[in-house]
Amino acid sequence: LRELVAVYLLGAPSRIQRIELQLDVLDGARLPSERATAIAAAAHEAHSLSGAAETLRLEPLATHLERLELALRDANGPGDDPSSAAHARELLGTISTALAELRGRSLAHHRALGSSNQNVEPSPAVLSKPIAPPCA
Amino acid sequence: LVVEDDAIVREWVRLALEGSEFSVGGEAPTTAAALDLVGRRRADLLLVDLRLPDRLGTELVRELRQSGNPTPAVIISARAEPGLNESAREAGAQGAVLKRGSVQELLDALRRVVRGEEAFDPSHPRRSPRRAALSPREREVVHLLATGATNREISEQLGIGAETVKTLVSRIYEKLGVKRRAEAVAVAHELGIS
Repeated sequence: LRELVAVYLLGAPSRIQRIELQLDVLDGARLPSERATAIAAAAHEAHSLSGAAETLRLEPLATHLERLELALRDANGPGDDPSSAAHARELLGTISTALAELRGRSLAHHRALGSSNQNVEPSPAVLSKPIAPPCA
Repeated sequence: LVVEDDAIVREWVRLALEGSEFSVGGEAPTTAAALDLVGRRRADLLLVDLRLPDRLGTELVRELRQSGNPTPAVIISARAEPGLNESAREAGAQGAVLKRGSVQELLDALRRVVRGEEAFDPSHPRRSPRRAALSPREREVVHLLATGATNREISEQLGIGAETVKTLVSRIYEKLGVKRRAEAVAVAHELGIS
C-alpha cells in the first residue's frame, strides 16, 4: 500500500498537467464537439485520480478531485458555463498544492525516520492529516 | 477479472486479494479490452469499474448478459451514486461496492456474490421512484446528449431517423421527469447512466 501511495504521488502531477492541457484545448475550442471531447477527457482523468485517491484513503485529496470532476462536467452544460471552467482551474491549484504538501510530508516523515531513501512513500498516518486550504 | 482503467486501483485490488481465496486472473483497462479478454479466458468473477474510458461498466455487464455470459459481476465505483444499485442490478450485476480502500468490504462483497447472494452497498442512494429505467437505446441517446451531440449528430451516429431521435428524447424526458436536455443529462449523470 505504501508503495502504491508513493507511485500515486509521483504520477499525479503529470496527470494534473494533462487536465490543464485539456482546459487549454477547451479555451481554444470552437466547435461544441471539441469542447465536449476536451471536457470528457479532463473529467475522466479527474475521476480516475479521485477514485485512486479514494481507494488509497487520501481522503481530502479525493474530495478536491471529486469537486474538480463535477466542475468539469458542469462546464459541459448547454450554456457552456465559463465560470465552471474557471472554477476547475482554481481547483487544480488547490489540488496541486495539496499534492505538494503530501509529498513534502512524505519526505519529512522519512527524513525523521532517518531513511536514506527519500524517494519513498508516506505512512498512512502521515497521509491521514487534513490538508490545510492553500489560502488559509 | 478486474476491469479498471486506473493502474493504481488495479494494483490495490491485486494486493487486497492476496492471501484470500481470490486472485486476479486478468486485467482490462477498458470495456473493449474486457470483452476481448472474457472471450479468450474464463473468469469466475468480474470486478468492473463503473466509469471506464470507453463506456460504463454497467453497459459491459449488460452486453455480457445479452451474449449469454453468466459470470457474476460486481460494479466498483469511486463514490456513492444515486440509483447505481438499481441500474447495476438491471444490467445483470450481482453487487456494487465503493472504492473506500477497505479490503474487508471488498472481500465480503466478493464472497457473498460467489455464494450466489447479492452484495449491493446501501451507501448508494436509491433511485427516485419517478425515474423509470431507460431502455438500452435510450441510454445510448442519453450518453450522446451528455457529449453535447445534437439530434442530427445522434441520428447519424446511431443510424436512426431524426424523428426517432425526437421520440426517444421525449421518452427520456418523461422517464427521467425532466423538461430540458440539460436536466436530462444532469439526472442521467446522477443515476450513473451518462
